[in-house]
Amino acid sequence: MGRIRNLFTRKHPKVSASSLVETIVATVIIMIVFGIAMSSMLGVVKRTTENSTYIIDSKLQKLSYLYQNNELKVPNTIEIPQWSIVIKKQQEGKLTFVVFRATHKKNKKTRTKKAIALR
Amino acid sequence: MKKFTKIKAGAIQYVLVISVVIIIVLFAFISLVYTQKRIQLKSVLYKEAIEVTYMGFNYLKTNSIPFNTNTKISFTDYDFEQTEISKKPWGIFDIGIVKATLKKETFLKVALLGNKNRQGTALYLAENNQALVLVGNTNIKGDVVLPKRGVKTGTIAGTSYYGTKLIDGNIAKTANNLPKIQNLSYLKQFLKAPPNEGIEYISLEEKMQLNQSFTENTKVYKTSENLSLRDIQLRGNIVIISSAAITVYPTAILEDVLVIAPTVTLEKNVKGTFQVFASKSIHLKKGVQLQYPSSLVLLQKEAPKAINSNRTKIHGIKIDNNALVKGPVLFYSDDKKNGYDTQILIEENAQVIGEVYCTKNLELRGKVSGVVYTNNFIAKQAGSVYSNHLYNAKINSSTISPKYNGLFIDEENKQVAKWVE
Repeated sequence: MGRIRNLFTRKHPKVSASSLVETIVATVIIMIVFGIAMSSMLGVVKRTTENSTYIIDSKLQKLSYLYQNNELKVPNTIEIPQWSIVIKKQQEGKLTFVVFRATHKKNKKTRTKKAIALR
Repeated sequence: MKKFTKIKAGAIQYVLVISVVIIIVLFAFISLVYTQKRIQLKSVLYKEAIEVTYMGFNYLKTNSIPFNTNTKISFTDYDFEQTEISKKPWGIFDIGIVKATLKKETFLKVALLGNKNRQGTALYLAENNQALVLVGNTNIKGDVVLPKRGVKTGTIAGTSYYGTKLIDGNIAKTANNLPKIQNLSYLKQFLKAPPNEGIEYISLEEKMQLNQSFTENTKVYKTSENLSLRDIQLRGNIVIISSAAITVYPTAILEDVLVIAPTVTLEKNVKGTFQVFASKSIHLKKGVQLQYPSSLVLLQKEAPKAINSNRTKIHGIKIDNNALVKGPVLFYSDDKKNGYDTQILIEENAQVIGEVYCTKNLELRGKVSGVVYTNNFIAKQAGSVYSNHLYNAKINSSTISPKYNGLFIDEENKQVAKWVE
């Protein structure tokens, strides 16, 4: 046996290993840091996608364009997945607007767009 | 006794390094998202500015604002949004300028505005106690307003009416005087004395290229001599005035400018987009093409005394063969006597796309896509003069674009005719 050990120590110098406690502490710390990073990243991504109003904005834009070209009756209500859009005339001072108000069916968020009323 | 045993830092060191790397990556990511959001906000505001600018033009459609004053309105719920709208006359059209400002984002658009009149009418013939007589291959398509005596067929030198239907549209025999041109008094004043505020005089040189924005001062070239426009390129806010005569040659490229002289001649094959104002005569020779929005305006101060027998020279507007005008053609005279002279002559194969408005005699041999307002038609054929006859004329109100905006006749509804700089 002794001869074998000698054989090992001679050819491979001794590497000092960390203790079990040390390794566990290190793993835990890395996991905590990684967890925080992941959760904050996910939060940012989620907020961006949740606040994205791209689809409804382009829909409102399209409706307003249709209205400008006499292709849309006012007042009107339009239902699309997740949003309901109410279109009506509204007087503000000297100006008459047509207001397109979209309300999210679940979280009740609203988006509005105005267009000058045609004669 | 050892109080503190030495703890080896090997693994912790690695932990710290890895944590720092993770934090750097996280920070980079979050700052990326933040920058992206800021850019997005900027683009949203810019987009909003563009939309508000168009709202400004929609506002001009339904609301009349005084000339040369800056109207400030806010169209959106943002309190940092402000839109400046102003309008100034430019010949028979108007120039509308809308500038929207949202925080640091601004957007400016300038357009030539014409009035949107009710479409569908092909002909308005004022009450002149005569029936309208159709001869030859005359074709009228669209609604017409005629004198009480209505419309009938006739014969000129053995040629009768070849059509199957007199008028392809509704006939109303309710004509009275011609509908009023709302900005006529301005036009008269303009021809007499163009405004002298906000202008700078220029001189013209050969091979000159001049491009003047409508947001800046108007550049005016004024001369008392005969002026020939050739080898020159003028675009935008420029007025050319001669108190004698102006001749335009095909080498002159004119866009959106005003040409003012008692007598204006457009030589063969002139192409451009400009407005012509005259007090004696306007002559468009063969192959002239005036693109939309152009206009020919002749406001006659006094009727010429001598009876004019020479056909090549008329005291009015003459549009030769194969010439094309896209825009209003207007002859106006306070003189009510009709006589037997031609005031607007549209030759065979010549075409006007837009409105033809004549307070005296219109000799129509060509084609009008749009609407004709006239006091009287005249046909000079086979050595005779026929009053209120239409010979081989074509009027069609349905071939004009629904986006056409021109003379200010109906109630005010100024819409964009052309975007300019």
